[in-house]
Order: sequence, then structure tokens, then C-alpha cells
Amino acid sequence: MAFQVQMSVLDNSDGSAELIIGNTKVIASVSGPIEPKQRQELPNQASLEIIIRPAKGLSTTREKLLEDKLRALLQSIIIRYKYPRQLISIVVQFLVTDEDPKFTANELNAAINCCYFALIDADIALYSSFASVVSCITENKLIQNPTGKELSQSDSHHVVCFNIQEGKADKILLLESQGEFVQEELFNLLSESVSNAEELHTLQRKYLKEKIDQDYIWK
Amino acid sequence: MSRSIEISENQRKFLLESLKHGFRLTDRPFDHVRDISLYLSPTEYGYVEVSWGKTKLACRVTATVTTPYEDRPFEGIFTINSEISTMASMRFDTSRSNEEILIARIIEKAVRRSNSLDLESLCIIAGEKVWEITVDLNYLNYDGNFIDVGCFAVMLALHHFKKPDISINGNSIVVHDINERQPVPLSILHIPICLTYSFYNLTDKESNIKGEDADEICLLDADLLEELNRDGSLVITLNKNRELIQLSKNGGLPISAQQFLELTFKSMKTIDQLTDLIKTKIKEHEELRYKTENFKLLEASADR
Amino acid sequence: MSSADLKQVSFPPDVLARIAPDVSLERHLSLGIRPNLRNFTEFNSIDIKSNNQQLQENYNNIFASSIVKSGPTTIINTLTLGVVENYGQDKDKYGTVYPVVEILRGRMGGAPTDEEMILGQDLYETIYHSKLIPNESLQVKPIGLGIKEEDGETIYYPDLQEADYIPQSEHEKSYSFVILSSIKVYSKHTSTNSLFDLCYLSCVDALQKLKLPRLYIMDSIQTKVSVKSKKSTTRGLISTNKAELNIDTANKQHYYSIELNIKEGSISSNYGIVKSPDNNDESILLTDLQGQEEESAILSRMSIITNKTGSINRISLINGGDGDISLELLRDAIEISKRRSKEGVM
Repeated sequence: MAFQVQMSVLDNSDGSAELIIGNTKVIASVSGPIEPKQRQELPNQASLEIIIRPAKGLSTTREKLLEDKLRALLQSIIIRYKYPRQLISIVVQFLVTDEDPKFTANELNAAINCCYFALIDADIALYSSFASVVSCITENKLIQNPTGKELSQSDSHHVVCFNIQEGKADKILLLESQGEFVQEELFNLLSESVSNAEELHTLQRKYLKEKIDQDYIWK
Repeated sequence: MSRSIEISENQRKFLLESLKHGFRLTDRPFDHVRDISLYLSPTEYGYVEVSWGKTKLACRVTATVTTPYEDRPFEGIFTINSEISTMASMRFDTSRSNEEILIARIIEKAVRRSNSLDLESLCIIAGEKVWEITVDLNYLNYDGNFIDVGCFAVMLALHHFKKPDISINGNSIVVHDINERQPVPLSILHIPICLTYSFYNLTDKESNIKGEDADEICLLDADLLEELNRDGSLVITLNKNRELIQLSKNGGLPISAQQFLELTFKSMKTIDQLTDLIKTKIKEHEELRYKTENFKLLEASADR
Repeated sequence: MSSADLKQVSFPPDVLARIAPDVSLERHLSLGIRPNLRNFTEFNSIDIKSNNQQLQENYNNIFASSIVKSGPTTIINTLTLGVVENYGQDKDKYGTVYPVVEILRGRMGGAPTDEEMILGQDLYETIYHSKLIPNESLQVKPIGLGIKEEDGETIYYPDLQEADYIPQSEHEKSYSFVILSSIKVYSKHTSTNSLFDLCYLSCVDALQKLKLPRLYIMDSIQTKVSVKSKKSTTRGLISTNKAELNIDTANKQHYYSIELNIKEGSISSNYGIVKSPDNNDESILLTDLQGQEEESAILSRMSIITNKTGSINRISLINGGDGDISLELLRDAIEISKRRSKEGVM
């Protein structure tokens, strides 16, 4: 499955990343800590502004729901107490998507993974690393990283995001499961996804190492 | 990163001094456009990524079948969405800034109102069903001159796009999947190209008599630093047929009518160059697709 | 110099709930109760008005309605219909409902809040992915023909009055219904997740009561449309064959219910997980979050939809870091949901 990351692609953001995962291409920019608007300010934590722009058309309630899910994840993973009364602005722009608009699994997965790189590029403090994987179940068969077509024919689809500590997937940070499935299928999927997430993390480390080597090349 | 871009006095003076001595900071001739890099999607008709130097954007064209406006039953619907997010630059805040509105309006005048896309060719069943073509411009990185790059990207994407084929049975239609039947390109009547000229007054006094020896210069395709320090700008939109599409000079440093006509004449060279770039890129892409997807096998006619 | 004595300030419970929700919650939990005085795994009781046809009977454009009450919160859900033409490009097997949620707070008008938008979109996606409405059920049945006769208007349907029906050639177009849901929430007293649960229940209830009407067109179908050309300013008239579809609200006996895929006991439950105040390694599972403290202080949440057959239709889980969601807790929550589906909610 295609997985390609480029960091620091934008000039006007503190951190940015462009991610190609499967057939989905997404670019995320992180600016922060910056001056918040009056209504956004929180007294002892950073406030998050998350904007998701779709690949086709203008933002609708579909993007609002995605923003809500991404916000729920990021607000616990970013060490917000480190930036009180400041704002961290995250913009996620989908460039190429591979699913029917009624599905958001591939996009959510790509957005989460891309934000990881963008946040690190922006030097925002995180409690831990995180990696997200998407899979679907069709007629009792588990398909990892499904294409849009496989998603629309599936019985259920799932996005799982794990917290990674010491290279091991420690706990589940986010789980979005929709469709028709049973408990056994779910728990089987969760254990399969653990190894998938840990593999993804080794890729994350690889890209981060390359970036740091490149940045400190004159050291 | 702060919300507004602050240029120090040193930077500004340095820029103006070098312009006085006849060269730009990026060592580009005054009347040259930046290096252009284009990406046309090999899998999706209508998706392109365009970069002029560091200014980068993505443009996508989509088509849906809909009912036409009641007072124009023979025409399709064509809309251009160009919202700028804070990703491009922190100056484009979430509330629509004046600059954003200006950029959107000029691109709309240049492409939509000039009828570059033939709307009557989008009609399927008069009064009932027409194609609605939507162009989404997503600005990714801002290094000056969103107008020219935006207009160029829209025209490139429109040329790249192909709409699904349709069969009509009386009053009902069947839209064919693009893998089922060859999709159809759009009918584009002319290719408008916008060019933005930026003016600088290099002395403290504004001269009343404009001319070549006056200390006022003009640059084509300003990048961010140049754009922030300019004293005036002019956006001319022309096509290869030497037709003037639209013109926008909103205040700023006045220029003489003579200079204006000269600029218009000089632009033709760049207009030709950019129009040819679009056409060659599209042709290249078509040939590549022809080879990779074996279109030769789908042809029903024989080569003589 | 006198030394300042720090006196302990005590706040009334509702003030403490707003300024330090986590402290207030911790104090309640260490006493073994919740601020809303329910047990840890107790749900709010829900009341669904079963045979209230009042809205459908009095308004021609309402085809189903549902009233759900839980505590002081009342949710009124009305279903209306739209019609779209199919031209074969949408190969979806399942349809969904297009909800607009309005939480009435005394604000006059105004744009939908984030909460309302998210609730609406969540319902839309959940109903689609749970495959509750097969698209075939929304196909419009053969269209009737309305003919003006001396004593009024009679409508002939191809399948109901075969002998009298005069076939029209242009009815090859295929149409489908679109279900629009208007959900009004009165006296919101509970958390957003619990609100989702109630709205989901009201949608499921309304869908089961939905009866679709027949459609017909009138005999004379010549319409003239005023047209303006781009090149001139004069207006001309052209005639089109645009026949308008009408809903046959006069013949309510023809209304029919649709085939749905709704499994019995389909219910949504929400949970919150918080660290135990006595033992920091343990986490407590709370059901049906409600109240200022629970809503602000609990960041680890789950929302689960199950049904009587034991299958799961949706899980939305977020681990906020504070209360750890272990696999055991997830299992427990699923068990509670399944039990709730079996026993029913009323």
C-alpha cells in the first residue's frame, strides 16, 4: 500500500506535511502557538482551531463532523497545558480522495496520520506518538487499508487510532466503527490492527529520522 | 508565526535598491514569469496541481447533472469556488478578507463572464437537464500572485477535464460511467490568461510626466516580497486572439496611457507562451494516456 | 504585620459544578453516587408516544412523526418527503434520512450551532451505514394520471385501476423519495451524546411509522416558460414538457408502509469513563452522561448501537487520556448495550 510523506512543504505555516496513503492524498498545516481570537482563548490551556477542507466542493456538515472527531483525538494528545492562552491552528486539505462521499473512513485515517507529521514538524508537544489504521469486514473477511470500492461493498468499516509507547501500540485512542458486525469480529480486527499500527510507526520513525538528518545536515 | 506578514525596513530598502539597479532579488528579468511546474492527474480527469515558483495550488473540476436556471433553459451552470484557507498564509483569515474577494472576482470575470466555457454545449435536455460544472481552487502556498496562477490553473483543469458520456431516450437520460464509455472533453471557446503587473516608484517624488527615464518600474509576476512592497498593480487578461477580456487597475500608483498600451502589447509574448504551455501539456498528457491505457485498441477506425 | 489567614471557601454545588467540574465529580463518585443522582450503570428512562397520529392527520406534508421524552427533554421528529429523478448513476443499495436538528434554547433564529450540525450529520451517516433503509423501498411506485371530469378530479393508477388507466409514453423516468427529518429538541437537559441516542431512537421510531403516498401528474402537461436570451433583452416564451409531480394527499388509503431493515431493539447508548477517585489504577464506567460535571470533565467516551440479535451497528470511542478505556471496559459497555437492546428501553 502506498505510503509517502513529505514534511515542511508549506512556507507560511509553522509545520506542514503532505501524505499519500493508499489512493488518498492530503496536506495538513499547523500554525502555533499563535495569538487566539478573544472568543477562542482558554485560561490555562491551548485552544485548537481545526479546519478541514474537502477535495470537492465547499465545506459542509460532513467536514464539521470530521473536524469534531479529529478535535476529540488531538485535544488529548497535544500537551495543551504547555501553551496557555494560545491557539494552535490546524488546517487539513484533502487533495485526492478514494471513497464515496458518504464514507469518511479513508479520509479520517489519512487526516490523523498526516496531522501526526505536521504537528511534529511544527514542534508542538505531544504526550505520545499515534498511528491510525483503517480496515473493513466483508463477508467475515478482514481487509486492511481498503480502497473506496472495497469500502462501499463492505459490511462494516473501522478506523482505529492507537497510542504508541516504546514502539508498542499501547491503548486505543479513537475507534470509529460503522455497519453490521459482531463483537468477535471487532476484537479480532483490533488485534490485527495493533500489528498494522506498529508497522506504520516504524515507517513514521523512518521518515522522521530522514527529516532530522536532512535538517541537521550541516551540524 | 504571526497573523500578519511584517517586512523590515531593511528588506524593503534592499528590494527597492536592487530594482533601481535593474535586477530582481530572484534574478529574474522584469518581464518574465517564474518557473512553472505542472502536475496533471493520470487517474482523475480534471485534477491539476500548479506551481509558479513557490506559489502552489490545486484545482479540480467536477460535473453533475442538474436542472437549469428557469430563465436560461439552454445553458449549463458554471461556478468557480476559490476560498483561501489559512494554510496558504495566515493573512487569509477565516473571515473573507478584501484580498480574497478581489482574487475571486477577477478570476470569475476572466473565466466565467468572458464565456470561455461554452455554456450552451452543456445543455442536455432543454429546460430540464444540464451539466453543472464546478471548479474548486484550493490555494496551498502563498508566494504572491494568486490571480495569475489561479486563472492559469482553472484553464488547465478545464482542458484536462472530461465529462461522462450521456445517452438520451426521449426525456430520460442515462449517464455512463467513465470506464464504460469514453468521456467527452469540454467545449472551451478561448483561453483567457491573466497577467499581473506591479509598479514601483523608486524615488520619493511621484513624477507628473511618465516615461522611460522616470524612476518608475514595472514587474511581471511579483512574488510575495515584491507584492507587499509594490505601489500599484494592474491585472490584464488577454487571450491568444489578441482580445482584451478584462482589465483591473484599482488605484495605486498611476501609469500613463502610453505605458498601459505598451504593456498590453508586450504581454502578448507571455500570453502566447502560457497558452502554448497549456496546449502542449494537455497534448503530452493525452499521448501518454493513449499509450498507457491502450486506447488504440478501442479505436474503430483504421490508420491510413 | 498581621498574617493573612486563608479561610476555606465553600461553594454551593451548582457553582462548584461550573467552576471545577472535575472536583465536583470526584467528590460525588467517592461517595458512590453521580451528580445526577443515578447509579453508575443506570440509564434515564425514555418514553415514546406510540400511537400519536395527530401531526400526520393535521398536516399534509408530514408522513410520519415521533415524540420521545426523557426526563425534561422532549424530542419531536417529523418526516417530510422530497422526490428526485434517478438517472442510473447512483448505484447505492441503501438510502438514508436527511436530518436537520434544532436545539431550542430561546435564541431567535440564527445559524445552526456546531452541535446541531454534528448531530444531524452523525444521524445521516449512522442511518446510512447501519443499512436501515433499502433504496428499493424508496422507489416511487407507478405514477398515476389525474383527469379532470365534470364532478371533480379522478386519479387513475396503472397498478390499481388497470382497465381505466390510459398509458402515457413519457413515463419512463424513474423517481425516488428522499426522506427529510426535522428534529426539534425542547428543554435539552442532557449531554450531546445522550441527545444523539434519543434522536436516533426517534428516527428509528418515525421510520417504522412512515407511510409513503402515491404520486400523479395532471392530464394537461403543456407549460410555457419565460426565457431570456443572453444576446437580447426581450423575453420570449417556449413550451416544455415539464410535468409537475403531485402528491396524492386526497387518497390517504393508498399510503403504504415501506420495508425497512431495522432490527428489533436497535438502540444507541453512550458511556463515559473516569478514573476512580479511591484507586487511581481503576476506571469507572458511567452510563448515559448527563449534567454539567459529566459533560465537561469526562473526556473518555463511547457511543454504541446494538440490537436484539446481538450484532453491533456502531461504535464511536474516544479515549481522552484521563479515564483509560481498556478492552475489558469496552466489553462491559457492549454487554450493557446488548442487555438494554434485549430488555427494551421503555
